[in-house]
Amino acid sequence: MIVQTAAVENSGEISTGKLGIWWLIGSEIMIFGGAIGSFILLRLAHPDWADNAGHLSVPIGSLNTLVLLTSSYTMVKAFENVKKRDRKKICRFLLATALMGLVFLGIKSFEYHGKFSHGIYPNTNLFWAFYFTLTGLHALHVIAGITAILILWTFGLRDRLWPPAPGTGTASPGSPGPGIDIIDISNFSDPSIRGGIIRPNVNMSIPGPRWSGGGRPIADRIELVGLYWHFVDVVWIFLFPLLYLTA
Amino acid sequence: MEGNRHQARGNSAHHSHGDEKFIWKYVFSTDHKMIAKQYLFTGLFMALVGAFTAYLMRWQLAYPNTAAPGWGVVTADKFNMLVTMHGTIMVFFVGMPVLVAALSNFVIPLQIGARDMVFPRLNMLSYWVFVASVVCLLASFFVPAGASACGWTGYPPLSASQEYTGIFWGVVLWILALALEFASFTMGGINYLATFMCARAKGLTYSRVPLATWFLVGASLAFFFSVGPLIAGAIMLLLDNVAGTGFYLPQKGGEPLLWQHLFWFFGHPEVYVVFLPGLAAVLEIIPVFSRKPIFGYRTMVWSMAVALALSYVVWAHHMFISGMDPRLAMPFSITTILISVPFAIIIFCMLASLRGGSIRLATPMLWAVGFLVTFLIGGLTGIFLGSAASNIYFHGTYFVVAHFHYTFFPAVFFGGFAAIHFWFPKMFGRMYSERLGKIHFWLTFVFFNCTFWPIFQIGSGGMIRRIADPSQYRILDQFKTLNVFVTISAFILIAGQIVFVINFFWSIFRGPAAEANPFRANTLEWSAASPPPHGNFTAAPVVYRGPYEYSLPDRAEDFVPQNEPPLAQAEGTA
Repeated sequence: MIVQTAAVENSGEISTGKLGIWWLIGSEIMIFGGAIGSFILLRLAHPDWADNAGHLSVPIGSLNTLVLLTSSYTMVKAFENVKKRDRKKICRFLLATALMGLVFLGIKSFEYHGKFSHGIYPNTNLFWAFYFTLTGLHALHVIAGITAILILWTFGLRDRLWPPAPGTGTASPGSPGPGIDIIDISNFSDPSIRGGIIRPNVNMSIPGPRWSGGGRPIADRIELVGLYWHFVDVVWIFLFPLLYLTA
Repeated sequence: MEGNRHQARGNSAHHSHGDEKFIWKYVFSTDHKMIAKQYLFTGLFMALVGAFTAYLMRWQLAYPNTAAPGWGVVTADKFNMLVTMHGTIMVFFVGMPVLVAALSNFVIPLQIGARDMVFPRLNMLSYWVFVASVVCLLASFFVPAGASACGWTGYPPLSASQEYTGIFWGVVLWILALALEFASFTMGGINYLATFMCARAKGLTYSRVPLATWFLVGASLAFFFSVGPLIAGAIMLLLDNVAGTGFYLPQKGGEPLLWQHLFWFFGHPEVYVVFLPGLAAVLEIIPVFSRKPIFGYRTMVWSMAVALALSYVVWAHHMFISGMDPRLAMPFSITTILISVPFAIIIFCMLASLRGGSIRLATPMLWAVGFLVTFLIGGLTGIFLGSAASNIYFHGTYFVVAHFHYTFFPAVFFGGFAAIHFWFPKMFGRMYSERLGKIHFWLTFVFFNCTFWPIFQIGSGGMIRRIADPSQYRILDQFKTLNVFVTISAFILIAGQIVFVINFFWSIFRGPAAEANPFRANTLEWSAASPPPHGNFTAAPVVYRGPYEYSLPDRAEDFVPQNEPPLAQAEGTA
């Protein structure tokens, strides 16, 4: 047998954080897949639901789609500026993304309000049950995304996206760039890493005097939140035609 | 005990946790080994609750309408509740925490040579979400109208509207408990998978990963991609109960079968979620206690992959008599029979691994062999249920009850006890009592079979599941003696677990100290101290070989740990 000495196939190629987000998205796909699949099956069996779908306003739905798609664009712009290390622009684009998410929720609430005022509730019939469940579940994900984006935005405002000066400070001196997160767990010689033992930090999500998460700068999380935000966007791209355009 | 734990650590100069506060060390711990123990103890506690429900049901079936000691007469509505909670607790609150969470948490990082999980705080969060789930479920016993009585599968319309069972809060809490559990195990799953992919020791290629880790990862995968649709279904079920929607209520245009599809799309892979970790422990034990390389390493990993893929397309075999389109019966019968092929391959590989070995029947090995024997019966009776023609006769009878107890019980308890005894020295740094372990095994093995084997006969004789009072049916009078026999066996089976409890707690505190590698095994966890300190290894392990190199002819010792550097001449010949 040939002895392989450096054979951990993927260490360093993908960060643990990104892997975690992809697995999260995988599980979310199954959740929305189950809900949307159930809707499609029942929708096919009920051509009469077209009457209900006719009550939904396509212009308002389209506007909301536009808002959400644009917010994905600004999210990408924020990520682009991570590479350029432009903190001001990052903050600006993150805030724009969060605001557009809020606009999306506002328009959604306006639509909900319109339905309620016409006496349409989740228990009116099965179509509306699906409408409110699917869009409500999606709205919860939008809220989660906005929260994450705003947390990163506050990190940006307080200039906590990167360690004070590259290569110094508390973030893993002497560690190579990619693959630092691996060292967090399995490098045994790096004294800065508290031995892989993460003391329970009560201020988990509150920006404290921490310059790095898991050996990587906070700025890297913009990409992770971006991935999640795009996923939320894609879910809407499925929901919009299925609910609005099948009248 | 904690003192030597830290002495064992060599280069702990840069951090000292000897003075760690109790709350961080035992309660809100981020150490994967402590979290594993937390899951283990929670699961074993829930097993007591589950055993109590079993005791009450068996009492009612043997001695209908007499007062069960410690409770009173089991009325029909309470019987339904007990059936529901027994299934829910044993599958979701014993099988899942003990096998999936405790084993994955303890074994995966140690076997791959990692210091901890890659997301230690997420790990802690997942345990505490699970605790919230347990609290929800236990609280449901005490709300008005009691806990859910819709069956552990929660079929609507029973579960979708209060008018059928009179239970509202019980059902809502049941759904919430499952939702929290799913959230917890999704977090856990992300952690196990990411740890497995990112934190393996140098040299530990995918083809050198021990089978236990492979099968635990497989269990997480099975859970991960099946639970989503059930989460969506559970949201709809919750809304049916609290918001008056009618997803599953025919009178509101809903479709009760939709739930059955969503539930069993998860439910069948869930069988493997619980089964694969049991298999994982057994696969790790067999080579160690027969001092032989495992037979067909790659074959077994690929068989597992095939079984996982197939497990997503067999779910409707739970629904042959549900009223779904009968044309679906044939394809689902075929996939169901097909899935027995990879598992048969795995079982044959295990038998081949045993053949010609120097078998030592220590307690872990007894459990492993017991697992093989009993699970085989469960697997073979599954063929009767997997083919639609015979299923129509057997479905809904005690035959099904006997069948799934012959699959779940070996997986959860035989596999679980095998794992607990095998990794006990590593977990607690002390040895269990071999004599008590063997007594416990034989009590469990004999009375498990005495309990469940006659149930096959009762079931094929026509006793329907979930009936609260068999004395109301004249056709069941013939099974009266058999039912009493089953009940007494079940009581001895439950009482026999006291031996385990004594052994377990006595050994934790008073057992003889264990050396690092008491079973002379190869995998990386045995190169760490017993119990491993925070951070597990004193130096980064490097892996040079596969996990099952036992009894090599050119070696004096009959085992070669994975982290042992190759001899110069051995490298040339191998």
